[in-house]
Amino acid sequence: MNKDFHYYGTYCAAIIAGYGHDAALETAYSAQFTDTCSLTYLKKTGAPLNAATTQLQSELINERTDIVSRQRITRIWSAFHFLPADLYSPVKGGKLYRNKAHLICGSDGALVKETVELAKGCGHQAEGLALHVLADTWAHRGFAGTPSLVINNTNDNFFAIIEEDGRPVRKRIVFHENIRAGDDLDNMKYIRSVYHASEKSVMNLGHGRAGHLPDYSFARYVYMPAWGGYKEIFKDNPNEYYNAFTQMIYALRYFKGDINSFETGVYDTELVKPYENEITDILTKRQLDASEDWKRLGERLSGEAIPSFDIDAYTREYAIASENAKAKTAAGKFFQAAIKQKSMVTERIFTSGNLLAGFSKRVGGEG
Amino acid sequence: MTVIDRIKRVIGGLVMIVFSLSYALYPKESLPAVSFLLSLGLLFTGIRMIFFYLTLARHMTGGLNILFRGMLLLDLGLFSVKLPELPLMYVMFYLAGINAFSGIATVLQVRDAVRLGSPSWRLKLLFGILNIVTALLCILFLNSVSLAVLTYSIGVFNSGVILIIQAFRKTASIYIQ
Repeated sequence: MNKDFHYYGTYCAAIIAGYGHDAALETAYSAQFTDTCSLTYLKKTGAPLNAATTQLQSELINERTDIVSRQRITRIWSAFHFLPADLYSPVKGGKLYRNKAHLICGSDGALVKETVELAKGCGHQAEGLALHVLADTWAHRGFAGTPSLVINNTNDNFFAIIEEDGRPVRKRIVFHENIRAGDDLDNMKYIRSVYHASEKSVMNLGHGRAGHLPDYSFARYVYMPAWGGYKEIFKDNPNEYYNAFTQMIYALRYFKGDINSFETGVYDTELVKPYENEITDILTKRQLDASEDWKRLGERLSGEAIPSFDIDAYTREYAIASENAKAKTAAGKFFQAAIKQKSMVTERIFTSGNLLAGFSKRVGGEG
Repeated sequence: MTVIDRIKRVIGGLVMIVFSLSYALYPKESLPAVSFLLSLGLLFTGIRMIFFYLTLARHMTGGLNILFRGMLLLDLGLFSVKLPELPLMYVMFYLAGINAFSGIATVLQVRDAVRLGSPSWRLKLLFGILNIVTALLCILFLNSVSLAVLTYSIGVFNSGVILIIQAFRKTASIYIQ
């Protein structure tokens, strides 16, 4: 998912759930900040470095492929962008393979529930971060947040499903590696990461081998993942993004105290009903960036102007705050939430007997 | 290209230059030794690929391809480990064959890179062509072993230089999200 859904989409969900403009904006900012809070940015801000929620391409280029580096990569990408669906799912194969397969991301898993529960009562920053993780479980389903050719590779069996004369037809997707050319929606030509035969290469992290397709809400496609036993997977992004949106509203109502518990597989389709057609239109429109459409909807819902995402919006306050006051700033709360989320997920992976994310220590009552 | 990839290329390039000089200066001693090292490399890579298949890749789409490549390399390694005991001409033939194989594989990679719209393929193509030309010239001059050795040395030296140049080239950023 991109800024359009994480920032403007989260704002819309928060307003529909009954949040005020300022609270919705803080939540949306944190949801998007999860995609930009890198080690480089934390160094610049003077924030704790273990609060990194993403890695820049320049950081990944400098990552080694030894076990410690791969564990660092896995901690970040599994905790914030590719939350494992089921760490104990029955998988055929040796332990090496099972450990990797258990990190495959998916929606409505036990860790989503824990993520949302962990954020409750910890401020809008923690809520926004949890919503980012939740939303990504829908978009990134089928890929793992660890470098792995065996899990994340895709082959040429990759087709877009589009409507022609009212019937769904398959069109072969052509992938290329020319960064300058970008994605060409009309001709079904998409950029993707370079094939690297090494199991441990960062090229094989996440959905790089499927390009940006998982991050486009309009995309409907079938593909053959490396892990699926030669079975095709159908990915219906408009439908799955709609589920993500309604599950975010449900989670927001839980944060707000309207609901006592958060359960997986439950989506708030009632509150969203008056806007269903408009949201479906945005989700199905073939475009690289839906920010303007989401923004327009959000401003209509709240009657307030939504400022463009400014990465430094909350961290300026953090940078000038005294050491004692830093934790109470909005950015300070985000960093605490990030550390808690990362240690919780690492703890769960570790206690499942899987060392791919390394060891864990308890932070703030969590793993 | 990651920093580690760049370092590997620089080291690989320097090793090739050192080897090429040793071929030219001490062919009788260095060529059998290098061919033995190459054999060990093939054996190690073959075993590693078969292990990768058995532990992980057998569950993967296209995993059999990795098994076949591993078996081929292992077989080639086992075959070639005895070569240093043969006359220099046969060693040269073997090294030229490896060079030609490597060159053809590189050209095929370039073809895929061009098909996928990759912007950086020219230097790699040069590397592949150089390997093939070196191999052909070596086989052509096989009757005069010293000339074949000199041709091979020049070829390896040039390949080493290209590898180092590649290491310092600006490449497109990797792409994940």
